Amino acid sequence: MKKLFYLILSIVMLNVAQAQTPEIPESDKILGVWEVGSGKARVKFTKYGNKFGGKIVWLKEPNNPDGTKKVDKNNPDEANRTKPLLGLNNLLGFVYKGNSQYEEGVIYDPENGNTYNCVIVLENDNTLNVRGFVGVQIFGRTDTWKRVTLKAK
Amino acid sequence: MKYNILLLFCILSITSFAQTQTDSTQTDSTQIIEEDYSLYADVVDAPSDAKKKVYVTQKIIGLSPTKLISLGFDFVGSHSIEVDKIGNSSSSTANVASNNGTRFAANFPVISNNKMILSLGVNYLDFNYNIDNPIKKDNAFIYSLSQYKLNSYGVNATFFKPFNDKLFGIIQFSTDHNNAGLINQFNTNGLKYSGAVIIGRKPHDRLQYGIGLTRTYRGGALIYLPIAMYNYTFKSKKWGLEILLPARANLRYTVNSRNLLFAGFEVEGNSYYMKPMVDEFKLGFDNLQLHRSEIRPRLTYEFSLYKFIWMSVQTGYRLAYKFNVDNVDYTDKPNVMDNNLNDSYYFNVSINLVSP
Repeated sequence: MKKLFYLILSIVMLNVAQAQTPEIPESDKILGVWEVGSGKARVKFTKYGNKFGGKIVWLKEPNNPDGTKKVDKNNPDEANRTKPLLGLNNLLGFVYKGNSQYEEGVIYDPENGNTYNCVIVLENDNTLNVRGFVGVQIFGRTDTWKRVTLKAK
Repeated sequence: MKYNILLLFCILSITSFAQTQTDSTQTDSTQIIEEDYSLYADVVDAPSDAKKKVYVTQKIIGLSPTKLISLGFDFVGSHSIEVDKIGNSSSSTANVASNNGTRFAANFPVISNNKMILSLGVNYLDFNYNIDNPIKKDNAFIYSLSQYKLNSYGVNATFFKPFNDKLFGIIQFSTDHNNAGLINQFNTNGLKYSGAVIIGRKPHDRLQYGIGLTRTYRGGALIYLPIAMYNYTFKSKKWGLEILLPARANLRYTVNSRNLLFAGFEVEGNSYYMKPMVDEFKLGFDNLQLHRSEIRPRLTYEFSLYKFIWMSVQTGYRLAYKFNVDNVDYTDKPNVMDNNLNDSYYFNVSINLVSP
């Protein structure tokens, strides 16, 4: 009787544990915070519907030399030129296409106000290759981003 | 023993259950209405097999955009050529009503990532001399210029390699075929090889500089020269310098991210195989080369027509430096012809696809 009790208990505990440990879908492995290749910014990827996007959550130099916060001063839309760079959604519309690739998105460069086509490849769980291009991928450049995690408080 | 095994199962299950707590940064941020961005200042790198390394980029802030594809038209106003004697013809002066040509270049960054950039390119340019008076066929040089374009076409490769977050190297190599005649008249005498090597440093985002060595035909004939590169954007981000001596130098003024003004100069030149002079005139030379070189002080306006389609409009003065003919098999002898090409204004317009 005791044997049977322990056996049933084990099975129940295993099933409960499995239910509470959902597998992260392949597509969601991009979620999280990433540091760009130059180390000057960190971008957080989130999911909205079935698409993915990123926003700037940290800047190495968040302020101008005069102490004012950096804003999106080069935005082609005048109405957006006073918006702060911190919190700017600069990666939009990415769709997971399988094989660790995210396509159909765009990346906005606040340094020049240009928006580029973009594809992202998850090289591994902690490395992201972000390629912005003009028209066709050969006219582009790849930046390698590294995952970072918040320090435990 | 069996009870111990079952107890172990229970412990493992509890442990697995405890590990279900996920990193809050991987949850959908729509759950967070207001973010405290200061949280993202204090981070650690996620575990990775590769050692994290930051590499210097090839551009500085404010640098003019790289032209991926460029198609342009060059026009030089009327001027005269004082032609030296050759063969049975005496020296004379010819009037050039205009000198115009087409320029095309395409560069493909076949590899472009943090660790290296390899760009392969093709280029074509021609010069067409519209010479006024009817040309006597015994004046070999003027006849050749009036009947045939100077053509130049070639391929090139540029390799940018960052060594760390400050140092970089650039290697550039090109092969061109330059001749007077039809573009399909290939001759090994028209082949020219050029290249450059630069070692540079980028101490911060607004400055990069380097020194190196070049093998070039910009002076007309082949020459090896030291080169200096200096790209700088002032703190205001309005003014800048883009220098690659001895080839060119520009002072840049940024009206805004889509409108740029430049004042500067460029040295242009090459060596062309004068096939018509060799084939059609029995002058006793088998490798006549026109050594052409000019200095062009100019003003340039570059602007975005639509997104990455830019236009460049340039005007200036063409100062002819060299326009001699030599038989390169006899480099220790004086030039076959010492000509004098007079100066004139010029105008250049191009449409370009620029790089991100």
